[in-house]
Amino acid sequence: MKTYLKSLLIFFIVSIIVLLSISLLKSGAKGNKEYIVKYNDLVENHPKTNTIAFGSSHVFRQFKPDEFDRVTKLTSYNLGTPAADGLQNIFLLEEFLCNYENIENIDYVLFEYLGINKIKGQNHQTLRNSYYLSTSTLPLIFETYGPWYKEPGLGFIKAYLLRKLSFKNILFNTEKKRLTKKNTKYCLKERGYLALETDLRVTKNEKLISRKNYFDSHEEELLEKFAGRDRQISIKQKNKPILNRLNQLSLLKEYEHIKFLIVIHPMYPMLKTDSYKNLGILNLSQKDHKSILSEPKNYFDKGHLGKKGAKAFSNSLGKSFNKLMKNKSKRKNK
Amino acid sequence: MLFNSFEYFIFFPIVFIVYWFVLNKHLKLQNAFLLLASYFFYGWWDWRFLSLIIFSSIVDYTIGLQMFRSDHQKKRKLLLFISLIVNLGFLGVFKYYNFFIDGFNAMLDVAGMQVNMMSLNIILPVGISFYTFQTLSYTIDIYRKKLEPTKDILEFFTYVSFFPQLVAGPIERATNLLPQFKIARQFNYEKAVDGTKQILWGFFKKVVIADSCAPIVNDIFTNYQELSPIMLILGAILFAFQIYGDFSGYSDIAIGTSRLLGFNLMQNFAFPYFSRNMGEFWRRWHISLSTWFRDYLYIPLGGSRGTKMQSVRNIFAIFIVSGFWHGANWTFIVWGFLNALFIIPSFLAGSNRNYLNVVALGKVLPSIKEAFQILVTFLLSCLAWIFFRAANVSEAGLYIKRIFSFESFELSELSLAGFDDFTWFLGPLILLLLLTEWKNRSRQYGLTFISKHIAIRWGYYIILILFLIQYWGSEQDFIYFQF
Repeated sequence: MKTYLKSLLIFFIVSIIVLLSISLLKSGAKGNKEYIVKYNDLVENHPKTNTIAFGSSHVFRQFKPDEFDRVTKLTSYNLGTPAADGLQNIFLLEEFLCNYENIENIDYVLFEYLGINKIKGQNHQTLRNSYYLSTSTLPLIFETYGPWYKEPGLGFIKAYLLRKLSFKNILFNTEKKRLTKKNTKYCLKERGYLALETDLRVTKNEKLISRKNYFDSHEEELLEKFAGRDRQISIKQKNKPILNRLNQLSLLKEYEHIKFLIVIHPMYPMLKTDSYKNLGILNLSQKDHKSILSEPKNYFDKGHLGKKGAKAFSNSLGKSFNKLMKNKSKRKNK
Repeated sequence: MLFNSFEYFIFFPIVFIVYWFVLNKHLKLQNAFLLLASYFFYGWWDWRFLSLIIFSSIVDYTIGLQMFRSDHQKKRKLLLFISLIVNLGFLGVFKYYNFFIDGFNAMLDVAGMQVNMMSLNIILPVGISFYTFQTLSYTIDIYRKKLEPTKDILEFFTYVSFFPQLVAGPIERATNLLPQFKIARQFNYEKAVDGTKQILWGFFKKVVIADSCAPIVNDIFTNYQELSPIMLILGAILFAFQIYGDFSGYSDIAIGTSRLLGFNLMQNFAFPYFSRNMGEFWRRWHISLSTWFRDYLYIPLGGSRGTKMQSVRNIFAIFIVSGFWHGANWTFIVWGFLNALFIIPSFLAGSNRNYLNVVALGKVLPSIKEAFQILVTFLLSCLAWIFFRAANVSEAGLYIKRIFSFESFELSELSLAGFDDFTWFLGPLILLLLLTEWKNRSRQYGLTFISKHIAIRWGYYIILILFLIQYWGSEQDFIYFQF
């Protein structure tokens, strides 16, 4: 019995050492399919960029650097990625801060306010849902959802271990590029922004055409859902760990030249935000910004703005930015 | 509780430690602990259905003793009849009630009578077909005076509910398993290592092969009307590997687990996809069920002793009943019928028992003739699997009809068939399974022997673990749980 247990233990130790060595020798994924393409473009072609936007499709599809720069006189780049949540974004931001060679040029980081999504069981072993799980991001999950030994924390740990020990991690550094050639070309031309318009997609795709038609039949419902919200709501407790982490980052000495700004999207209900010493807040969920959502032509579908809406949103964001900066400098002068 | 679930990885080490470290000197306590563990294992799914196992165990334990004590043939027959009624009654109610009611309603409808008998929303107790057949074999063997009943109620109850093989077999005969509960178990290093390897191989087959094939097979069988013949053939082949990986994987884990606890269960799969004709295939596939039907149905019906016509009738009988055993659906009955049809030619030609040895024994590769025979047998089994997998007989018919439609393949079908960036990896994985099993085809299971060199052996096991970690996560049910 003892010999058996000893052999089993030795075998498991050897297995873990071998698997971890392979896993550690190969560096982990640096991002998702869309992020890698855009990050490489930023490094190679836009070294003078001083403002970076992180976020979900609300940034990827709606933050138009040209328009934002026109209003603010900054030089921005859109590093938003579709379907990303707060955890993924904080991981990408930290990777960016550590690795970006022109970090001294960065003056502003716009960070979309997002929570942490649970990962569905069947997605635990997918690269897209696990590349951003690390020893630094896992604690945020437990702060959000409670102890590690209960779901969904346990699911995240499982995904993390699968990621660390999986052959996909060993064979591949990141996922393959998913953007089509046409979309990549457009996206990189627009500094990471990709408009949601059917003319940019394959027009034969019936699904997209019907999605566009969706607005016509659901106009009232959408307007009521987004534009009609006028009640102030406090930020959920479970979304605070991400904001606290961002606050901690902003307090680090090596990033003291960077101003971190939280962007709250107009599609959110009107949110009351806590104030942070070092973080600026661009709260576009307030009433004066809801006009973007009252215009049917601004929508692409029930969750996103189209090309026109993106322009309006970026303009509005730029103006809010200017206002915030003006107030800050006034306060400084006083 | 599923073997591939998180709970089982907590459950089994606890059972193992208590069984060997705390109770190793007390046979009775070990048996009692195994009984408790087995009931816990089964009750984890639904504790209410434990009552069925307990009731069935009480009935057969009592009947077994009464039958043994009695010399009156009539009384013995009556007792056997009661056992058959109770066990097959449970099976009939829980598994076949709705099938017969629906059929009866349809028949009355055809006759122009509008009597709508109610179908019931019945939950099928997991593994009912397995433990029912196990207890039946006990009473039948006592009736035939091949077995003496046990007086120890604990032994009998543990035999019926022994958790490694309780829900999906192998269906153990009392003559093999019951005596093992009487003898003090000694921990054996060689046996334990062998059991561990068999568990690892079972998990590889289930988690890596079967669970990876499952989503593609599901998509192909769902969208078969929009797919070309080549994709449909691929769907049938992948299902053949899915069901093999799933069921033989379960058997490997069950046998390996039993070995870790000091028990020897019978071999349930003997590399069936290397068979040279359908007769050989059925001697190698789900051996515990095939031999059950052979001993308790085929031989009592006359086996191959009567005229050719009677023998053909008997073959059809056991295959159709075997199909029906799998589930209350015409698809299983047609599947059984087809398999009988495939066996009949070799039976009539007298070649059905030609291949009792292992293919290409002592050689690295099979001859061209053997390879061709293996391929034909595999394709025939795939054809029958289409009926096994399809939702109904007409769908299976349409699926096969479409295979012969000569429509050309288009790349866009791949996404409809559930292919993603990593699907191509399935090919090498299936090849790995086949090569490993080919190397060990004369042994008990696929991973029996890899190499004399420890570094190669361990390296191979680590590769398997690497794949397991990669593919773990979806935790799909075992297909045979429903039977």
